[in-house]
Amino acid sequence: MNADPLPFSQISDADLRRAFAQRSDPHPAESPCPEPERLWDALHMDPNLPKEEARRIVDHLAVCPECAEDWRLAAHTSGRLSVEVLREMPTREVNLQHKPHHFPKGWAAAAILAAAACIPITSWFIQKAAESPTRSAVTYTIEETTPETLSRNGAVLTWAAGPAGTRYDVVVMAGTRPVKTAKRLEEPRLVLDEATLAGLAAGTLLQWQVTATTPDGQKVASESFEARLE
Amino acid sequence: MEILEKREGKVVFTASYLRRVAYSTLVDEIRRRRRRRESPLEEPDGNARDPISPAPSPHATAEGRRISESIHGCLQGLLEDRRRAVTLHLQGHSVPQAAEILGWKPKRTENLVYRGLADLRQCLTTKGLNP
Repeated sequence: MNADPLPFSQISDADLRRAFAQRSDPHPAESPCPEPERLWDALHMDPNLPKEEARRIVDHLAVCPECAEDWRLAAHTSGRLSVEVLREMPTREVNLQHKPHHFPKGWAAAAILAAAACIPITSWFIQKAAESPTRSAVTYTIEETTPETLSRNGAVLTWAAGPAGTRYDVVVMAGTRPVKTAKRLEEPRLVLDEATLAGLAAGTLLQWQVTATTPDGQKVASESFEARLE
Repeated sequence: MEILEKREGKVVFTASYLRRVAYSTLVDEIRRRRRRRESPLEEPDGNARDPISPAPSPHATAEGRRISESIHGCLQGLLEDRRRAVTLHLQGHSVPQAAEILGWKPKRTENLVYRGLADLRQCLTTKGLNP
């Protein structure tokens, strides 16, 4: 006997993502499937790709499950989607009746194959300064160094520094509500003053992400970090 | 093309080289997956989709397909910008990421996601799929 499905008003975002990812029948699209290079350019905001074309590619993702899956693969390979988010979105028939889902082997194999096909790719994502007791001059993985709980008096977000001359953009959110945005910081820290935190209740979970631009122009995006407000 | 450089006595690949290798490997992987989709009779390789669970019942399969069709139909009924914001949200992107990809301000994107999801849920409810 199948369990009663929930009313859609109660379906969580995770369930909606699962259902979206599990579409199996492509619908006629007004535009053909974009070349993989264009998917990459749209995903990484290449300045040479007009924004209107990027939006049309997003339109295509809404009707083409296969391109949507390619997009997610590209996003995960370049660190823009975490494994935890991908685990919410297997590539099977839709079932919102809460049967257990598993991280699909095909997905894991494809992502790992793409990442491990060349050792430098793996190095790009996991390269750390562990060999040296002090930070190496170059880090490509942004790791947070912020406590899990932030005080309203002197809340400071910090993360591992990149090479000299790196600039940092930071976005801080509370759920879907923007809290603070900072551009081109010269130091790996961002102060959240009392005025910024004034409208947030105690216990609010903040999510924040750092995008570093190294001196040679490369952009490195961190995972989404979390900290809870006292 | 500079591939290697020395830093503090260690030889490492440059960031630009690593990025190019990741890019070309990913593009090749996507093309390979597309060829496999177009030729389903090809012998499956190690990356072929494996069953992750026992096959669902015909009822579950039919129900799943109806839900999938409903999501597609409701998405197409959204206002264009709301649909775009919601599509990226359903793809797993955060609001700031979606704003950057679409070239919009974060606040506007946040509103579009919020209202788009509300419209999507309302539409799905009116589809009457739940008993």
